[in-house]
Amino acid sequence: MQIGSTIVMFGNIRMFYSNNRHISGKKITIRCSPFLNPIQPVKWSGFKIISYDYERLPRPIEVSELLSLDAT
Amino acid sequence: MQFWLTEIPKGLEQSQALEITVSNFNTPWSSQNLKFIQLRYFRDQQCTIAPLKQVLTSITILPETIRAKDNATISSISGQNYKTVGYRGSDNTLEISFTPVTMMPKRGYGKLELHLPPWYSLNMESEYMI
Repeated sequence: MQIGSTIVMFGNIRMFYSNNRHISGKKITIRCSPFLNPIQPVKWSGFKIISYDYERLPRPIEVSELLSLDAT
Repeated sequence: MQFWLTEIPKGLEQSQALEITVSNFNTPWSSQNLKFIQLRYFRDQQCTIAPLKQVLTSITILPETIRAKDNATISSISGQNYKTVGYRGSDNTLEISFTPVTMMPKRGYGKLELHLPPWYSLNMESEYMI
């Protein structure tokens, strides 16, 4: 899987990827930098990842639960 | 998809609605608007007599959006600084891992979106984590 382009907008990162085949059941890891660590040593909630189709008006395929970053 | 009506239900007259239920239907992964659905019906079993054609109205199918429970993790990795609050060095990296049930990019292309909470928000001032 290759990330073709990335747009950062109001804290949301949109990534456009290309892949020859559909991806299913394989772990995907994405690294983003630079990243600002939280300023409080608590569990930060509010992270979410969404995958879309590639229709003219993209619609979500899969939405993750709200994820937390453990900064304790 | 073809099916035969070997017996015309009794009492079925012209202009009367006939409902056909199709099972084993795969709901699409995202919402789709099915257009130009055509229904053709023949007057004989050999399908020799010119079919009658009827174009049905579009149908919108709601997506089967899957919430990826427990298969996504997120962490900040930056060596020894990954637990340093407020660290904003250029080497700081956010790492997110997930296992998609499916990603079906059309013609090999697709879109991912990562939502992040604000790094801080104070009165009218705020900044994002990335």
